Amino acid sequence: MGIEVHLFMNMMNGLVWGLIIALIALGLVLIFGLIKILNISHGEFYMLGAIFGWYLIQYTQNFWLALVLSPLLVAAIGLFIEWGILRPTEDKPIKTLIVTLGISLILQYTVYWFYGGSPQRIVEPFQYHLTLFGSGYSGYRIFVAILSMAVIALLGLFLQKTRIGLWIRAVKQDQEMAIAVGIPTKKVIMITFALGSFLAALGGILAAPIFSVDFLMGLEILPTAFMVVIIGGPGNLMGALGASILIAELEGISSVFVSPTISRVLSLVLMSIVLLKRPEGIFSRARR
Amino acid sequence: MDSILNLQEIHTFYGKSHILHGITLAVHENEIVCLLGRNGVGKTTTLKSIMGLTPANRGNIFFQGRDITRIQDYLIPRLGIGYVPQGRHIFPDLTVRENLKIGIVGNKVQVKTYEEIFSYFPILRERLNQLGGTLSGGEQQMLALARALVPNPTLILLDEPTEGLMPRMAKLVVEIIQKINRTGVSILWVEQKLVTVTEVSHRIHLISKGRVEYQGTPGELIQNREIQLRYIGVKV
Amino acid sequence: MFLVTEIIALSLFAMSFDLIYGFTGMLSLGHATFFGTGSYIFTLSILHWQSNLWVSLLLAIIGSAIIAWVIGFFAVRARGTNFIVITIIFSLVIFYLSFYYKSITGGDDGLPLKVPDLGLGFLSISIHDNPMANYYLVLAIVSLCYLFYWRLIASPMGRLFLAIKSNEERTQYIGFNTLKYRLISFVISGAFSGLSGALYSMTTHYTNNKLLHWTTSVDVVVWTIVGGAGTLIGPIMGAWIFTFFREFISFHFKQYPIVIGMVLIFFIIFVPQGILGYLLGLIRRERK
Ligand SMILES: Nc1ncnc2c1ncn2[C@@H]1O[C@H](COP(=O)(O)OP(=O)(O)OP(=O)(O)O)[C@@H](O)[C@H]1O
Ligand SMILES: [Mg+2]
Repeated sequence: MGIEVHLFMNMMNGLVWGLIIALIALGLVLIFGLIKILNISHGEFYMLGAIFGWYLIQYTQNFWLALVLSPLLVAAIGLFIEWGILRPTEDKPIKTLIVTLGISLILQYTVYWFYGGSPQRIVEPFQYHLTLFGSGYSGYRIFVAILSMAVIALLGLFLQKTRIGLWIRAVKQDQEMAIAVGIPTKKVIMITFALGSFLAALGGILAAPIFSVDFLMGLEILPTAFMVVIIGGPGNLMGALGASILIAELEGISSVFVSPTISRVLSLVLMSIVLLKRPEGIFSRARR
Repeated sequence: MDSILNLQEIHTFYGKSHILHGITLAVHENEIVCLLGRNGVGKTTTLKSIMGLTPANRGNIFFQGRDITRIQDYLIPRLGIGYVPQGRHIFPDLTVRENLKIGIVGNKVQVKTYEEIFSYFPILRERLNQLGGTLSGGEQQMLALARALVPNPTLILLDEPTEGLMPRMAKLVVEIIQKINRTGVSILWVEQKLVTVTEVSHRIHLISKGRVEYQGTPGELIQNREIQLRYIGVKV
Repeated sequence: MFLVTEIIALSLFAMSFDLIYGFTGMLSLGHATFFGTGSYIFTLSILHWQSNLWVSLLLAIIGSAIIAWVIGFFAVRARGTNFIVITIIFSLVIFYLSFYYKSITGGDDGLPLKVPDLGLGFLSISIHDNPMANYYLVLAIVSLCYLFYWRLIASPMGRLFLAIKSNEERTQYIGFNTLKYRLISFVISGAFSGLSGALYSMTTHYTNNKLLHWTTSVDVVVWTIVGGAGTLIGPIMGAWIFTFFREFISFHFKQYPIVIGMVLIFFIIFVPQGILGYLLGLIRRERK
């Protein structure tokens, strides 16, 4: 295989992976923007998406059903966690962060209990392969890219055009004023948390056939998701989208030339530079 | 009685510090009532207690005869109370249009049309698609008033609405407030400067250290130099 | 005996974490990095250079201090949640690096270690085959470190750390370079965490990349919060309680992190001052 084909493949993979990361990071940023809480357990929602997907496929043999049901289940769990566990500490960001750390341990090892420690595979739901540059490329991955883009576009429309979307943006900007114009802020936070969990879980089940499914996959995604938040700027949704693709492409392209480890270190270096030079993220508009 | 807002012995705390020490006051229908006092005496806190943002720990608040002291915070504006906070608190990243729309919640409320709003605030017509954060101070004040007005409230709470505005703009704002009042909207107006409200208010309460120390008509207050000096300082 | 010596070594880790969290107010979720680095430097220097015990311990301190300085350089520039995120990202990336460079680190199989004899000039004592000598050595070093910390927190610099914790901005206004002092606190903590890692490996005759892992970072957070942050002794109590707990329960219930997660959430919500903080509070109230 020539280097240009190799490069092209890695760029495609980078795009697909970047879009999956974007699903996860958008959820993280959405929640962070609203309640200024960094959700350490966010990766576990990604993991749960894949795990529930795996179980659902075992029982129903139907990937598509799992694709819809698993994120919904995880959203329900997210809703419960926000309402039942996080709310009492929500005015203290560091405390809440530690609580989400506890939640993370509980979710990981509950899954370990039932699912076990060894990784499992989900087969791609269709085996179609496209021919690109004289080489085969998984049709499923193309599907993942298209679906993710569609979901991200829908998310944008939801935030811009619907009443709840307007409320979410208002609560993010000024929570007290939002209450004073009659917005049920607590419910908005709950819905946003569920929405964030839904997106992470969707990323999880979409990624499952590409990688494998195990109880620590949420932990593995965490550094990447956090780097995205820093590079894109905390609370900045467009920034998160851009940063996801940037990191995934950076790691994808550079891994053609250097080892994957070095490319991971490259994104770490990028993050450190952003942190020093543009603490508001590289995609932030200079305002206020 | 025809009072639409009634505060009875309101006590409010921030954590352990006791800020309001039993505020009692009433706003009657169609009235402009002013709450006057120096820096940090608890004027803003009184309004926030009414809105449920810093709930009163003791005492009762009645709105149109109904006890709203322990009602969930976000339901209070839906009863027909508009709030124009100190510093305006426009949503900076929402457009003017969205800022206006945001006050429309619930289903039953009959809302003002854009045309009605523009009849009070013509300037907003041109700004409709601009972000709230890009408006000038005066325009933001207009928007804050308009936002409170859209859901057709029966009572509006104003927190120093002319603070930081140029005299001409301040005068315009006061005129608009009077115009709103003449359509039957009662107003509770928090202010530091007596001059701003002598012409327009029906009754004035003086507040000091979380307590209402005096009340009377503007005319009575202007006569009473001693009270003025004691509670609002020399500036008249 | 081994277990007791092990826990004494871990106590140093707990105290070191308390210095930055309980005293300077910085929550690091990547402290395993320094613990693991210390352990690896100690082991590798003995393995490859047959170095003297004292030299290896010294190298472990210096090496971890350097790593702490590099990470801290970026981390202390960030505040609140961002600080935490950076410590997480660095530590997770370093953990994955330890997997890729398995030939050096031994990965999760780890590296066995033959501890060299302790040279005291005129006589040399075997540590490797003499648990009692090992115990006294570790106890002596950790006690010295405790004295050091005790003096440090009573010193002007210690009071400055506390001032930064309670209000960094004000401390800055008075004219202190708070970045510098936060970095100093971070580096001291990192260096002694490294020493703790070295002592741990000296006792277990072994190192593996588990010591660098997230769970190790989480452990020390749990000890400190449950024991009582800002008391030095509280985190040590936490280390004893949880290490014993794990030793006994992990045979019967592999999913014990679920319990740890629950305990953590319980303490953060209901007993945020930790066990020792709670007891001290009771005594203070009795006196009144
Ligand atoms: N969030 C808060 N936490 C603690 N104390 C507060 C808080 N907000 C206000 N205070 C205190 O409560 C008191 C009353 O504040 P309030 O804002 O109601 O005063 P005000 O009369 O509106 O003053 P101003 O004319 O400056 O707006 C002040 O002493 C203030 O320091
Ligand atoms: Mg005020």
